[in-house]
Amino acid sequence: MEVGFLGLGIMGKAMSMNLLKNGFKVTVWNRTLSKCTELMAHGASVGETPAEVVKKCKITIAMLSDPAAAVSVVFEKDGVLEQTWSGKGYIDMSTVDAETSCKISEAITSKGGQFLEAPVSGSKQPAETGQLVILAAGDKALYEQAIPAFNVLGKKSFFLGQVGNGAKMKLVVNMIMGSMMNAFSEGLVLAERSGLNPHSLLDVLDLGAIANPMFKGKGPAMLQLNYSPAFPLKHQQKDMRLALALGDENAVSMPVAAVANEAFKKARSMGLGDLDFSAVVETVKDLKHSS
Amino acid sequence: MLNATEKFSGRVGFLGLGIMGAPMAQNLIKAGCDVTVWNRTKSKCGPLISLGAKYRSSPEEVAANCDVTFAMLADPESAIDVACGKNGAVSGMGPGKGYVDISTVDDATAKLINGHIKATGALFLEAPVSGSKKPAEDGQLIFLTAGDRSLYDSVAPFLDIMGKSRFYLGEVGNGAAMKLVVNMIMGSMMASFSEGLLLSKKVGLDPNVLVEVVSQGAISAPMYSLKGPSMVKSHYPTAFPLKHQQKDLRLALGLADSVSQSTPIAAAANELYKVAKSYGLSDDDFSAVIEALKAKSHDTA
Repeated sequence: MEVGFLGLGIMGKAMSMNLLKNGFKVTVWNRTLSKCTELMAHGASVGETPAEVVKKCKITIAMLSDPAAAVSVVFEKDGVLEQTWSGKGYIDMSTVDAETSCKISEAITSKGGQFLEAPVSGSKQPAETGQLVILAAGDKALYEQAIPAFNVLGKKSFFLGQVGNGAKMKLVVNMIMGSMMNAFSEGLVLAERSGLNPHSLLDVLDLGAIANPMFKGKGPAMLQLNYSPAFPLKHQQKDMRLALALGDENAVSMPVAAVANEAFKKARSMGLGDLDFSAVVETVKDLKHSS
Repeated sequence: MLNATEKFSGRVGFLGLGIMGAPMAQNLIKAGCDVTVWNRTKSKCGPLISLGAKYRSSPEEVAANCDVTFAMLADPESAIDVACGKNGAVSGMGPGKGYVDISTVDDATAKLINGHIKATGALFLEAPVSGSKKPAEDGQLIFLTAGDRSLYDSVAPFLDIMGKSRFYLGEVGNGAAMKLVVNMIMGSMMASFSEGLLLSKKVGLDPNVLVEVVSQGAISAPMYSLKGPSMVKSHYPTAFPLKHQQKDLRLALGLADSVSQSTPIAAAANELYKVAKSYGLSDDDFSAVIEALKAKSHDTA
């Protein structure tokens, strides 16, 4: 099966590599063309523009960093809309707000194409090991066609109904995750400030009802001040902001998420935006050691 | 596993037979320990007595007739009263005896009780637990102890009957601090999960699917899978009373205050538990905090 792949960042590179290794023919595009080189070495073809990729492929997957990037590959010059779309499918796996997803869906379907939004839960490592959780919504027939690719990319796929539902589900999950990371950060710093060994806290947490892979995976690195990015903080803050907007539109009170968002904003102002989102722990410490 | 009576052939006292104390004492009796119980409401002792426990009418008498006495009370006030109040355990303690306080309290309370117990010549260990009703019943608690090391070593067989793991954390106050930090994280996580469930419902998603999606990913925690389904149905069967979760958050905020650390997430979560209490949900499971995000009583969404 031949697929197009737009966007070779942290996630896109790992995902397209997985497809290649599992026998898919892949044509890639990235704004910075040099990022395509490694994929080419593994057998990928390159399209010089998003439009060129779509021209070649029946199904094109996009994995961009935010709503602006997702919109630009569709609507801008040399964007996917410049091609004919009848009989073709577009699967946008970027994490965007529901409105953006609907806007892209409408543009594609009005040109005769099929659209599926399919944001993922999981960051770099699950992308590399094909363990993503895929939250799809939109065209059911396109979803069925995509299943072979989804089985390579992820461990589980959900079909959630109409366009917008995938985006919303992703934002809700990441909202909880962002708040949890903040709660965890407060706990780690309080443990240390109270004279406890924070490694003991990690051991205790891992045994009980609130044990989870995120604490287990990131806790030790955080204690070593290692924030090598699996999920950039700026993207986590973007997701919190979008989730809060969703709450705002629907009059849902979310005080904990609001506080977490403030912490991520502060972290961005401290220059931590490109580090892993676990770097938010620095905002909890900073109050004592501010420069 | 070592028979408790081989390692420590002694008489064990147990003060406080609530949600946690009753199954913990029961596990000790079933393991063959010599157990004497007391509870403020005497009738709660009945089931334990029919299993073979002895009964004494005050903490003082229990302590006087036992070698080591465990206490499992609901909050700092009761822990202090049972230990240091009229006919309290302190009056029955002395050299050669030990007091193990499993209640969750703040570090100042732990140190206060420690001081009174040690003054009698007895040994003291604070040993709050992580785990609620079911882990107590199943003997799967996690003990977070601190205080007299020799007492810790002596009572280890009893802790191993009631629990799955134990930590010795050093000086008195450290057990309390560790427990509060853990429950601070837990209370914040439950509040955040509640926001997620409610938001998912309000934007037209199936909250049961959210629970399933969460269980597949990096933030999958037993607490979410266990409580999510019943929260979606607005059921909050009590494993850990909401009023105790709020007490723990309040004490954790106090701890943070004492070391000049700002904890805005915990503070925001604490406010939600306070609102839930004002809705009359104190004795429901702490997962009832989700109701605090809804308008009182009238929200049927």
